[in-house]
Amino acid sequence: MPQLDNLESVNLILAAEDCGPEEFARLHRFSPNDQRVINKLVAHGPVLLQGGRGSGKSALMIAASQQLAPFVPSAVVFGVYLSLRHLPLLRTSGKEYEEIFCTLVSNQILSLLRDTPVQFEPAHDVASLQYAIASLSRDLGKRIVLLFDDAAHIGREASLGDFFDIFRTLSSSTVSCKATIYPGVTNFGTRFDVYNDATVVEIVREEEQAGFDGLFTDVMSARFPAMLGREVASPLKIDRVAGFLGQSVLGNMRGFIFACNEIVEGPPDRSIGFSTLGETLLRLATNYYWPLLEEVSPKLGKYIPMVDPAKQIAEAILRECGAKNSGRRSALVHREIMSRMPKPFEILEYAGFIAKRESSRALKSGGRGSRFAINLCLLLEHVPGARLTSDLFEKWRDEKEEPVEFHVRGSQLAGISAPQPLENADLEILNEPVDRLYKSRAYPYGLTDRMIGILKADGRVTVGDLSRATDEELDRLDYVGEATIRRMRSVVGQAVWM
Amino acid sequence: MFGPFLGRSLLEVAFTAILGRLDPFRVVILREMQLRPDYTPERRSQASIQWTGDIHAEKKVDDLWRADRSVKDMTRALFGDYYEQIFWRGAFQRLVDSVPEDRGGEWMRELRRITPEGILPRLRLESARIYSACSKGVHHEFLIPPSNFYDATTLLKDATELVARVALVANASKDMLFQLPSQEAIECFERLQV
Repeated sequence: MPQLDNLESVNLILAAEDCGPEEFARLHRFSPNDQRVINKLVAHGPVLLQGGRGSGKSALMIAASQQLAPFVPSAVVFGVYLSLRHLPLLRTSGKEYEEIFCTLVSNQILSLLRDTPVQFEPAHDVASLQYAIASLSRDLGKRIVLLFDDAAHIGREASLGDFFDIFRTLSSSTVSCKATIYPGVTNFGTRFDVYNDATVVEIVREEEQAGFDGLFTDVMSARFPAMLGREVASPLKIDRVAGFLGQSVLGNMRGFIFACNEIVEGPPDRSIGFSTLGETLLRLATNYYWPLLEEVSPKLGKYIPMVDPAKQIAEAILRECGAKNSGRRSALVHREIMSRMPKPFEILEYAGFIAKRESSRALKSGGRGSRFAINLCLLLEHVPGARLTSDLFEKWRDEKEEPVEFHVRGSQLAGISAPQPLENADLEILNEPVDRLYKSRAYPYGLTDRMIGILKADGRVTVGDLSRATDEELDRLDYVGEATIRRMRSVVGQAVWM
Repeated sequence: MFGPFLGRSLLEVAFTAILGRLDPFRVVILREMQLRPDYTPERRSQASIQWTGDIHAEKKVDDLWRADRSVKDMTRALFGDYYEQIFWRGAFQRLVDSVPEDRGGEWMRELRRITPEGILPRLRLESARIYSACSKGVHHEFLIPPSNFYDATTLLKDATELVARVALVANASKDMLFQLPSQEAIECFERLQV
């Protein structure tokens, strides 16, 4: 049967969980601060790993699991990494959620123990799972670390309470639970106290951190080696270019990879100078960041109405910061504004528009607020002339500056209000037509016309239909083989999951 | 092997020192009792500094400022609910306002991302975790190698980092006796991170 597999090639590998172990080691690099985070994931104690989209949560979790048994057989800790991207988990709650969850964990543990003589009794409820994991710890003579990825989805908060109940129950003196969350996850159910039941570890990459430029130069070298051979216009050097791109996207790995890809896809003999960098930032703003808000919207469940105020907030902040002194890089927002509209700000943090640097800082005219760094791709759009000059580059790289303050009254944020969340909202993305997954800037893993045509002919007309199809059902379709199924799963994963 | 002992000693000594600077009566009275001729180390002293009671409160207090609550029912534990309100939040706010943006290293950047309301719950959780882990090594609770449960080197590093952060926050309060000058405190803090 002819295969679509070889007709398209995807050059971008964005999701860590899509990499095999060798490819993971080849493509991923970690800063000294990232290593500290990995150490906390390996150590005893409950941890919630918080980061925006594309910040590297999965990569850090996988890196942690690769320091543990069975990956390293002699390690004194046994690690179980499990991505919870399973649609049934999103659609269930209570006992049903618990059963599916426990089955997934059991199956993962069994697969990790496949080549060992150690026995594990699969469990279908939390009490049995707790007992089985404790027995496993005893039999192995090792502590257990459970690394749960993609557990949280704010489009479906009912399952959040179920997950965090289980998280709390499974945590013990021999079992540590770790889970990824992102800004916007604030509902942990009634039994889980985020202040007392876990340590929240944030993924933060700031240009002031030691090794920041070096990290992004290493990632560029690993993923885009051809860039290191490109001519760099004086006075720039490649490590400054890498560091600047990393700073522009607020240290976000996915944003950085997109930025490098933009440059690589341009004329290969063009030197990398200020105009190349400026154009790259502007293209990222237009083709990635602003469309991201549209992409995220149908996943937000009852918080869909928060996207419009999020856009208004972004535009107000960018206008104000862009106009002042040719682009000031940070904004200090009064806490009353934040408390009026927490979700829109969390959406902007999740999408990489802003990154919180300080939670409580005094404003000059009184009161306190949070300081955010601003994505330079978006800021450049609002700088007069929208051009990256050498002066602007040096200013953004090296100058210390005061943040632009947004007060309760008189600021451009004063007139924006957040609507109420929707009642009884479902995950809209599942009802969207499958055409939504067309290959695009938003979905680089996206489907081709032919793939979409094949799916529709088979009666799979919505994203939900595709997500519910089994691998066997998809394999029976003409021109669909293993690689195409992987690609379909990948794009559905990107579309449905946060 | 000595990691848990050192870690626990570090926590106990450091937090006792900080408690003494906030509540000198508590520590001075213990010193006086130890100077009495009838004091003997072989007998447990009720006045000794206890982790639960003096550092961590025995229980959470609801409705802190109820008019009919007597002073003896107001916990004076270092990480208790009353000191959280009257001391730690204000100290933390003074700290983040006074330290220049480019000082304090990565640990200070992490502190800046915590809210004043969140600082003490965070310190409580970490101190409880590290103390408990160290205690298991001290009391020889493990019937399998302790290294299966933790890396003593990391535990000691965690204890050091925690003590440094607690000390830096406490030092920022005007209510703290024998404060280090702010510049000197920050320099110590930065040196520990190297």
